[in-house]
Amino acid sequence: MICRVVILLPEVKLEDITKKYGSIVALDEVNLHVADGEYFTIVGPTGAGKTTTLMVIAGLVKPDHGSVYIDGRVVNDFLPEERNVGFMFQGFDLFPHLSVWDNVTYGPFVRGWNPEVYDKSAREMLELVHLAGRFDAFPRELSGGMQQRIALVRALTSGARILLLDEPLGSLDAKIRVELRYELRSLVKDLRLTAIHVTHDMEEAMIVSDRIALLRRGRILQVGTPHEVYSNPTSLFVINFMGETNFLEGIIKSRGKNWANIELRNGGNVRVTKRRMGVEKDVVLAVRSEDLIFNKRMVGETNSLSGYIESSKFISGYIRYEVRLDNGEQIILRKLASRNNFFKVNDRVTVSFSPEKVLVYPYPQEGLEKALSPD
Amino acid sequence: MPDVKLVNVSKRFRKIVAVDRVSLSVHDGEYLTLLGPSGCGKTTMLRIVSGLANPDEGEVYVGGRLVNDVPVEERGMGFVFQLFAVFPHMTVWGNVAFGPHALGWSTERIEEECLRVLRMVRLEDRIDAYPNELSFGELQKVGLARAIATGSKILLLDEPMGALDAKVRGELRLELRKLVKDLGLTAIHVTHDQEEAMVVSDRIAVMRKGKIVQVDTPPRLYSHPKNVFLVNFIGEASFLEGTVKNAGGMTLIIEIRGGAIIRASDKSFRIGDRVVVALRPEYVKINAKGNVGLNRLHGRVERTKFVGWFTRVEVRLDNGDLIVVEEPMSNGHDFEVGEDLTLTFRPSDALIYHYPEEGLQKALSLE
Amino acid sequence: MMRFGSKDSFRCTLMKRLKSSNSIIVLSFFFLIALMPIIYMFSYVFFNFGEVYRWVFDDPISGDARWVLMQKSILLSFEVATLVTIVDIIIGLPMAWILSRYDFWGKKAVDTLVDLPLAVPTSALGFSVFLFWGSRSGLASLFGIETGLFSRGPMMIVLAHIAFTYPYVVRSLTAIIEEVNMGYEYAARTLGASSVTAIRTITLPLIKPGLITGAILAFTRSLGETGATILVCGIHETAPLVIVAWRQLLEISPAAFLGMTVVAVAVFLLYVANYLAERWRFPLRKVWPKAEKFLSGKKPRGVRDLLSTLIFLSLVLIPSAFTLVYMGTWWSGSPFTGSQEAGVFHQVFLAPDRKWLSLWMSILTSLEISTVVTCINLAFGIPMALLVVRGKSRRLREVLEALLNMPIAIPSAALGFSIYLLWGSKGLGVLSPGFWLVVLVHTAATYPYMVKQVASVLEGLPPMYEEAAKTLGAKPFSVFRTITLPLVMPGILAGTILSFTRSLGETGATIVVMGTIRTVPVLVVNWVEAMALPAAAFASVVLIAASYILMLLFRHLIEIVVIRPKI
Repeated sequence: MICRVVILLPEVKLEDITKKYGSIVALDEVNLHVADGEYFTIVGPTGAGKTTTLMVIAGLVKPDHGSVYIDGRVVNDFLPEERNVGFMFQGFDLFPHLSVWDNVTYGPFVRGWNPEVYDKSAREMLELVHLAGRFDAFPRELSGGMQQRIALVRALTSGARILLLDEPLGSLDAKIRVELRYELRSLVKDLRLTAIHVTHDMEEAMIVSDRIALLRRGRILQVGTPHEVYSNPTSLFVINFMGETNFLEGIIKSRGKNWANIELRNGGNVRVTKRRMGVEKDVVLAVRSEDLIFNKRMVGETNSLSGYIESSKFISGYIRYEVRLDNGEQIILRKLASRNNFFKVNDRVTVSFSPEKVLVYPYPQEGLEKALSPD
Repeated sequence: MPDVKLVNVSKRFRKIVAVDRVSLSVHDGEYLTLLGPSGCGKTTMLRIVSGLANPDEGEVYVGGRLVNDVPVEERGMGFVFQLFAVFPHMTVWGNVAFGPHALGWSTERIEEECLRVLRMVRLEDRIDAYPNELSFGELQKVGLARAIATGSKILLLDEPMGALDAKVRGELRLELRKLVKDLGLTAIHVTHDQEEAMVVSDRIAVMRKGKIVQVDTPPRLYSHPKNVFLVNFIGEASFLEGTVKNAGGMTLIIEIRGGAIIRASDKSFRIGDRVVVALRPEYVKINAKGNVGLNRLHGRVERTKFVGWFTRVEVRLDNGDLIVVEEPMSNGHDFEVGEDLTLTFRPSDALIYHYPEEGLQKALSLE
Repeated sequence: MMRFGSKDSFRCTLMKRLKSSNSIIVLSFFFLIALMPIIYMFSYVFFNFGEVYRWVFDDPISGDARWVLMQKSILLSFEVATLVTIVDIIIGLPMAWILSRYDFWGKKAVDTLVDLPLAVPTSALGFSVFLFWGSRSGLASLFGIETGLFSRGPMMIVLAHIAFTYPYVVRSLTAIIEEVNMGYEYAARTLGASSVTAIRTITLPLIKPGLITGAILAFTRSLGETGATILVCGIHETAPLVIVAWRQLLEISPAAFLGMTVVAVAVFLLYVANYLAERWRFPLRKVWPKAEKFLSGKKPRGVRDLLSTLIFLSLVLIPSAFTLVYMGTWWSGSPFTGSQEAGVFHQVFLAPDRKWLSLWMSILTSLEISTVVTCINLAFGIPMALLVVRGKSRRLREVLEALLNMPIAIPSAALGFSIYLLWGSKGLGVLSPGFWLVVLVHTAATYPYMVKQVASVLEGLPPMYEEAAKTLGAKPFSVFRTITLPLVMPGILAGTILSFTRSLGETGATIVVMGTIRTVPVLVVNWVEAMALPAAAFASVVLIAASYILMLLFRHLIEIVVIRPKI
């Protein structure tokens, strides 16, 4: 079988970028490459260094070490105005003293372009986001969703092919945020742009991206497609950052080529098929709340734990159960709501999970709580 | 006896009617959320309850007593602010003990109660920290502890999670509900985030443009939303427009654009009525094995996106309409763009509404 | 709606009544102190118009000489003020930029140095400027010129005024530049604008309010300046000087007329200026990408920064502080003749007229007055700030803000004169020239500064802290004491500094109402007029030292007290 590997020139590349503010390390040898036409998202808690990363790419912040490549060229010495990268700021930062039209045409205007050249394309872009009729309004007269779209158009009118987005949906209502996510991705894909999007919201990242990078304390923890990151989170922090996960501490009792038997700290046995650990004995098992199932028939077997329902809450199409196990621990289970099989508080249940769905990690040195904390 | 009751309350700011003749009862020990888009009047309502704003019309009763003329400082309600409002010039301890001090408690009582409350939010080892040393999540907990330290039985929360990261938000709202329930408080919580409302509340009152649109428990609000705005605002839905062809009898027959037929079980419509059919993504199944009585629609996959727990599939129907389907990962199938498929859903899962006067776009609008 | 009958509502209405009586007291204070004298001056002119007419237009000896003098002096005052303002903006903006945007070793030092002219009482400053530009010991000595580079007159007036209005402009601009959201500039840069283009098209329009405030402050300060002007004017006279002169000659009616005219013209001009400034838009229609890109480069920026610093040093700092140099060189004797009696030490301490004693008495007097004035300002200024920012009626707030600008806009000599007119023998006859009249005058002149400082910090304070305190059960006074006051402290401290140092340095109005007492600034004026320059230098230095130390102290306190809330 012949494999043809096509190497696309990565549109944006960061090589060993480090940035310190006094004693605080904002970025610690960050390496990234974003391919042409890719929608790339950097996710992480507040203070992880996401905005700093974007500022470095845009040239608004100079890194202490490392190189920034755009379209194969080192741009470290290029001023922001020379990089031709569109930037959408948190809070949009639409110029308050200029009308929508003046905001949107600012880029071409300051570059000294001929108005005849950019007039038409600016108008077309406004049509694209359904705001052509508001061209003479001022930012303060527009709603949050409208401002976001204007900010987007403004970033693109000078022909930038790379779009940097700093929490573009953060200041919007939850519902609008959810709706605009899809619009944002559609727009970027339709216009064939390369986008680097920064957010603290994992759900947003999953929906909007082709690939995701997780950033914590200035370090990249993992990069991959949403599918890859979801199925194979490489660290406790990553899996905890996505939805609700149950963590069970235990010790490996016996192992084989691709399986291991673990005894839980508070009682119970688990068999896993995935192997990610070396020779440690102390481990933490992670099972996602959506990977657990109720199965009355598995009482007493491996990979099943018994307990009773402590609380149940209906949440938009699924039910969240808190189950108090017989061994004293609490686990969370999510189940799509359906007509039958509601459980009530105090019902006895048996919770089981498939060996493939359990992820195993070595017990972290700093303790479980610190390993999961955002800062 | 309802703990908080609003009767025909209205408030205007210049020409704008922020709250429009609203009546609401919150029961003792209930966790009620005021949910709605920005500008719908929910924060104004909360401020009226607390006394920080005065209504132009209407009465506010607390524990059966009329409190319109009772100033803020005498209403004895805990208030948690969106931007924390933690006093920057006092330590955590200073903040939490502020209320008890103002009430003139003895030093022993203050120490006992404040420590108790700080333990509840797990901040007992940060009592000497100043606000600028704390994370946003910790700041919110200080605001919370401070609001309950005086033993108020009513807790008011104004978008308490607004400034927090998604992950911290998710964790904190569970803690919040637990705290309120453990202490037996009555809580009125304001937010624009419907998932947050669903997690914390016993009942939700949805507001829009100064009016209350529906008050119900989360499951009921989700399964029986009263109008198209609510179907879309709580959860997600795809919409099909059509006309009623046949009413009377066990099922409602609706013809949608392009000629396809949909059966629904809602019996309150007549022949010729123009209607909107709302479908929630999780009720629509792809290529399910044939069942009698199910609705069938044919289309092509336009876009798919892996979202973790499930895959979101956008299907373009033959008639041009777009339906969003959530396909659980457990089914294992990977969909290709352009793939032909058949969608099915039960008649009882279709939510039917009269076509709104102002048009569908405006009826759904959030701004 | 108030409902009587229940105990709660009674307490509520009582609180409301008390609150409003507080407001009434504060409002009456302001009215009495600052507004009534001015109104009285206007009415005095109207009621005695016949007499005024004769003195000004139809004097038996001089005809309409006084009218001519009035016109000349008013014209001179306004010309000087306009020129000074324009120069200030041009040289002050780059410096304000440096202070707000750059970070460099020694920045704090430069920052405090910019404030130096504020600390220097105006007469001392005028004296210093004269020494630097106009005497043979100053700049002229470097070139070997006998008499000094400039002679007293309009040019020197302009130079003196530039020196002390510069800090006002730089401070107003710094405050607003620091407040501007940097995100706008970043956005402009990412859109392709060079540094200079971004600043010109985005930041400058956004800081327009600060520019207007700074310009108005500079203009009014220059217009009203008396102390320094006396020392550098030579035979030319600005309007405030004429008022002082006529008052001293007891030519009350023409003085009143001039005062009224100056006030009217100043207020009118201010409104016109404000109106025009609001309407004026920065020219944004054109760009010059290549030129502006060049100007944004490292070298041009370096040149610009160097130039700003040099101008600051040569036009503002050194002239203001020159007295120190002078005192140093003249300490033990004249550097020209070597005579010991001409030296500072001898003149002050050894001469038979015991200048050191007069100086000591004046220092005590000055400190006493300024302390009393500052205390009064604190007591009545803080509540006024609360009214201006948090008052219930919007109209009242707007009116108050406009009225508060008046005492600053009016030349201190005119203000002093109107107070003298109202309270002295020509009016109520309650107070005669002396300590209390001086206190009154200083209060009227410095009160608006206190109010404005506190008000601006209060405006920036989100209401949520006070609301939180209320929900926790704190009564209104408790909220004020435990929450509002601590959070507003930086404004209070700034207001205290301004109030104290302004009072310390006040000259023009003081001369009008002082009677027999002497404050240090007045002493400086007297000694300069008596040609006892070394002694005057010594007195100036003492005053400058006192003010500067106080300012540093308070600045330090503000740093400790300033709370940067997380949100």
